Amino acid sequence: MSTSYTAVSWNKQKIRYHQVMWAFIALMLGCFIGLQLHVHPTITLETLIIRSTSLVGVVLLHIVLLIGPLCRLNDAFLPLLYNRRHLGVTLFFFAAIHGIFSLIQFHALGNVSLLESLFGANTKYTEISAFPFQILGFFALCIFTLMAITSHDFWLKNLSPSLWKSLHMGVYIAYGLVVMHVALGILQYETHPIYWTGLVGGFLTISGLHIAAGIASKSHPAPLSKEAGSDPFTAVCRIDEIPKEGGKTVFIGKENIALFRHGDQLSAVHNVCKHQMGPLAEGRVVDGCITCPWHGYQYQPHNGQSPPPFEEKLATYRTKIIGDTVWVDPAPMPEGTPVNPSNIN
Amino acid sequence: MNPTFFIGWNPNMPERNKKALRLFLIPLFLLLPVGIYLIVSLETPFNDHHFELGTIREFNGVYFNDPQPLLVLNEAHVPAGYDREALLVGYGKFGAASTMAQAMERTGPLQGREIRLRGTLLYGDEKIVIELTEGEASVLGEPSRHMHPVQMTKPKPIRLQGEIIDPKCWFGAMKPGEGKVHKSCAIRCISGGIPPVLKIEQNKMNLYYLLEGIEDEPLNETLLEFVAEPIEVSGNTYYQNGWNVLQTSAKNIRYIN
Repeated sequence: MSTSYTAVSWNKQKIRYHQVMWAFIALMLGCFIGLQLHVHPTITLETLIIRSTSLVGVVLLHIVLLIGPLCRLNDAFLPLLYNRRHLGVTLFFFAAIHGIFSLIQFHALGNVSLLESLFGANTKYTEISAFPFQILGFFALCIFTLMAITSHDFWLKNLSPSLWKSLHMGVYIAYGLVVMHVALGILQYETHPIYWTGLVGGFLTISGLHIAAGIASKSHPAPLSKEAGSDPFTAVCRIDEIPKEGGKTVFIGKENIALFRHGDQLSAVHNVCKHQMGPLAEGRVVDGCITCPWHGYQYQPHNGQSPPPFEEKLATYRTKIIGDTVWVDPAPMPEGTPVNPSNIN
Repeated sequence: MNPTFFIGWNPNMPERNKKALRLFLIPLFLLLPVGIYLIVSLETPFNDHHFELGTIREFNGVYFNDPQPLLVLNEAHVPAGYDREALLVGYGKFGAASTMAQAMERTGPLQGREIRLRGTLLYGDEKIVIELTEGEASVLGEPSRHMHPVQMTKPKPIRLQGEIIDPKCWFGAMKPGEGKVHKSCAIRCISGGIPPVLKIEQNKMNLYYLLEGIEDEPLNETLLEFVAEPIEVSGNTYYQNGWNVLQTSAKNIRYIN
């Protein structure tokens, strides 16, 4: 959390993240370039640049897309999520080198402009195997560019988290474009089954993990019952289903609510973090504050407000405990409204 | 205190997160070199053609306009085992015809005459290509007055299967200079005047045919849709100034596979 914008707020975890990330990239580039020069000594420098940057870009893209569902399935992987944006910007960096270099290599110094050549050289748009695959990569790079430019918290705040999130969901469109770019491009030339196995295997892994994470996140039980009459409270769970100093997600109608046990008390807030819309109920209560599992944004349980000097506010909900059953009024209070916590016997 | 919950801004990481990261990262780091070895070792090998980018040489030889601008090099310039008839191409993705036409405005006719050229060498598969890197200034001095005769054989019908390539990229400028990955570049080169060449494989060796129209007209624009595709071409072939030539038309070309 920060009250002002800086390019990168470095801390120990971020530095370590970068060390591991760049060690991984260095290993990848070192192995690829070294092996290429050994196995194919006649390769040109241009081809070496184009192919090595494409490899780094595609591998990083797969890792970026794996992190989300992995963390939903097991929160022990959350450190991977913490700096995922840095991984994304690094992926853009390599994708940009690949794209710009390819554009120059294949389309520059000709009788038409670069973009005219890109869209007009191969015009077999209605055929699958002959499709001009380079434009797919071009549009993917456009999406990565937009995402990289807006990756900073400044844009997150000014675009609003929901718009920012929608924009960054474009990574799935970009991934689809990249898969088709590879399938209709290099895999039309390099036809050994190992390449198709890699591409399809990557796709199946990513989609499989997303489906598993989707099923897991939908497995929140329905409310137990609704009180008859005019009482708006709904029974949602037993108190012992909520971990101490932890949270639980409940859905009542369209309301996504996070219940938190803090000390001997129970509070309820809106389950969506104001930073990047992280699932707050998957976080913990740390130093008396609800702490988002994604980036550590904090809120006070009784009023949904971030501790001063921070200004983020969540909607709060009224709760009550009868016996060992937790009841919640699904009507949200205005953001930052104090609500008396329920006491746990 | 040892934390139990990972928070990015907290310098200490809980042990369970460390274990999970090891579970994710160690296999990733170990599998990476194996995966890259498979990717690289199973790649289609690159040809052994060369482009002497950045090295400009001077050449002496006899210039011919037909079947495409070419220079029949003096023996001293020809590497062992290579044909003497060097195809001329322009700088970038352009043919040599317009460059030579500009030069001839200064020097007069060059057809069949001995000339001196400066350019960048591309070579491979016993064929030589010279890029006129410096444009019209690549043609040096005055041509000889003596004219050498054009050598050609009588045309005969033929049907061939292969791929249309642009000879500049194929003979060294790019690797690979063929197939889908190079298709749009080859289209750009041929569209810019570099002569289309049909590459066929015969007894595990490549043979090359310069493509031209039935009336000797250039086919560059009409052949673009067939570039870098497996095709069958029928027409009449003859041999002129060291190159096989195939006279054909778009209607005599069909896709295969």
